[in-house]
Amino acid sequence: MTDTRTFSLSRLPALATVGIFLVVVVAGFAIFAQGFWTPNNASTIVITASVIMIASLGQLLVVISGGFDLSIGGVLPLTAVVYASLTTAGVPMLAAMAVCLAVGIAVGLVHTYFIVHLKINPLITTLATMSITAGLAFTLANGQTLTVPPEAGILGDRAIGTIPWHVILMIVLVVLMHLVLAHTLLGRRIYMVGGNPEAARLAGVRVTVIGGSVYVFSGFFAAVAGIVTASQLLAASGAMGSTITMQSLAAVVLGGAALTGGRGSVPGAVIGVLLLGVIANGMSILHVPSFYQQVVTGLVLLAAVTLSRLQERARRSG
Amino acid sequence: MELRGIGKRYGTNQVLQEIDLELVPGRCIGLVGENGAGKSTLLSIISGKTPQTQGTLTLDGQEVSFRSPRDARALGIQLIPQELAYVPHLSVAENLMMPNWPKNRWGVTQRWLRRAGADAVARLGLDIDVRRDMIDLSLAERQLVEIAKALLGDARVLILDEPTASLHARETELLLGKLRELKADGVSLIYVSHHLDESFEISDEIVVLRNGRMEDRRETTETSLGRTVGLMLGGEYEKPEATPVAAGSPTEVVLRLQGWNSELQPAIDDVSLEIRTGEVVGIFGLVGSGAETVARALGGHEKRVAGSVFVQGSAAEVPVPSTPRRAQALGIAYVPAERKTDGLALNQTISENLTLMVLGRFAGAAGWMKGRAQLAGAQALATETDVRCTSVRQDVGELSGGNQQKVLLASRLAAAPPVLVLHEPTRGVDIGSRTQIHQQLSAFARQGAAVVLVTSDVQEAIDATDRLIVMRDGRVVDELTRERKTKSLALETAAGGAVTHD
Repeated sequence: MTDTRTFSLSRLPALATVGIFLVVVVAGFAIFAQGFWTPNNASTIVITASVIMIASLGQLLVVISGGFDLSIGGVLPLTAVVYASLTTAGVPMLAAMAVCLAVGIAVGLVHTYFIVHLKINPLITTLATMSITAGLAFTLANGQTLTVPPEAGILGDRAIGTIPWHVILMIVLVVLMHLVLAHTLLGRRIYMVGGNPEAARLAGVRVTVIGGSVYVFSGFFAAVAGIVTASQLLAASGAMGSTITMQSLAAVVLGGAALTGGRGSVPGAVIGVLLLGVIANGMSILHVPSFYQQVVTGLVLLAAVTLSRLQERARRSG
Repeated sequence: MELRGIGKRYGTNQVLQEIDLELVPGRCIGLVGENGAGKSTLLSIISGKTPQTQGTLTLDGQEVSFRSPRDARALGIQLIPQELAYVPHLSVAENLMMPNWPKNRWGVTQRWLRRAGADAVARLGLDIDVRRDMIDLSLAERQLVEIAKALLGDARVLILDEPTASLHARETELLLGKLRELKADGVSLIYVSHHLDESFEISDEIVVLRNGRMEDRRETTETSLGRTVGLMLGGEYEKPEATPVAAGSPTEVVLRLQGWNSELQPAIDDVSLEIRTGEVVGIFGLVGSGAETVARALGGHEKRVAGSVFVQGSAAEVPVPSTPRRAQALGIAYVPAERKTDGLALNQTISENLTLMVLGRFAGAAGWMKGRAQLAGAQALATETDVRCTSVRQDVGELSGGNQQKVLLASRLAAAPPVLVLHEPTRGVDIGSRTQIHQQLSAFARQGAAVVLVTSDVQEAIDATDRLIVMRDGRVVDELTRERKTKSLALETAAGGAVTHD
């Protein structure tokens, strides 16, 4: 197999395809959906997407390392509920945030133990912890929707100029994680572990440490997403994270990540999140019922993975 | 059964010609030959997997032609392949009776199934509980169950392809014992093995294949192991090998293994070796000889090996490394045998794979990678080891096998370890890359490193080494220095020939 083409990064073409697709979708809505192509709507899209983006960063790390994390959909409501209860009880905002982050990290450490050390399948493990954390969220909230005192909602409703705090936080985290993944030792090793854990182990990489750390990151980001959600809505309930797991997975995969590990990037995930956000937003403007939106989202996901599969096949045989 | 003038041609390539054999009840033919000599082609013709292009097969005086292995089985010809085909999580009885499970109108009844299975096992004189899952049996027991299954089909001709490749000495004895009983019952056997001593033990007749021809066919009692090896290798027999002469004579001991035993492979018994700087030492042995365990254990890839390692520079002897990181701390770099599963991340770039072990060199404060330096470093390594690629940013999976292997080797050389251990470094690699890899190893040793090359490829064992250690049944049986290092001697020793010298 001699490859005569000189694509510098084989993940670039796949990413470019999804990027082009995003542009096409945006152009389509801009033409057909009145009120889509406005600064106001653009900011709506970004504001709506910020929670998914933050959660997707964690999902991305885990997927690149060769696993996946379903528990985000449980950790998000759990931390949101914890945040609501603590701030309502008068705990200072920053302390409440710290507790929530600790909860997220703790869940990540639990995953590390079961998945990396006991070698239990990540699907089963995180399915179980999703159920546990979501159940805890309902229990803690007594099945009710808790309120968050307005003074604890700074992250959600304050802004610098017109940019809300949580969007700034999201952008900072995105840039940070991009740097970590693309330009640090840790990042390189995460790709290597995802690419072939046994090869990495035999070459002396601490596979358990690397493979475990991604779940801690993921728990952390899920907690951040929980805090942001609670701050945005000034409310928290056990039911609020039901779609985040699938959305984050879809976004990451749309952005070129492979569930077999070793592939994926932050810019890709950003495009994936935006694509999902734009589709949902545009269809709402066109008054398409939300259940159709789900169908379309699924179709887009299938189309994207099919396309990347075909590209990969062409590359292998070319 | 009789074979007359059997030949097989693929296109213009005559892989097998003019084979004449008689399979007589109660006799065993030991079929031997190097890889590619035509053994497997012959077996697949006899067992109905591929039709012959010349010659005839007769059974009981009638000419037969098989369209599929099923036809052959129906006539009582059973092949037990090297890679057993069974369903691991079904019981022994279920595997035995497959696919004809006894049924009544409620479906399969376990009771009948078990009774039939137990009968089959008892027929072979085995003591195996047929309710156990196949996966819970030892390898030898699984092999025996497969034989029992073959006998259920009223096998008259039983063909065994490398049946002992993964068996321990004791299990091999057990298997050979059962085969002898079968012979006494009038079954005709064909026994194919690289372990010539076994072939000699069990067979009545030795048939040597070379380059698709029948080189020799003789009563076992009228030939010898040494002679057979010579015939297998043909003209290369006893040709003295010209090995590259070492620039500096190896003196310093860099690596010493002492008293190795393995909990998981009990055959490994008190293995001790010494490796010196500036030399490429080969460890040669057939599958199951323990050579591969030594390689893996040196790389920290094998658990529960007892014994000690002394590496130059360290103060004292330390236990056998139990993780790859411990091995590296000792200065041992390991090139695993399976490059695709253990060696490389195929969906990562050549650059990432090349620099995997020395990533730290390209990292600054806080783990920040110097991307350009890394690429330049990878490029230099690729050039040095002649990895043929359009760019080091290509995925390593896009390279040919030989180039992938070069990447794997270069990734280890990059760390400049005092001791380099390689396990089957040129398996499935084209001849050009293979020669290059051998030259690189030699050059690396001359720079003052110690290179341990563990291989089951006799040609490689001779060509690429300065000194050859031969292992058999978990023991070091001989050490062939440059003067005595010949292919035939190495093969003979590994295959069980008693080689004594003062």
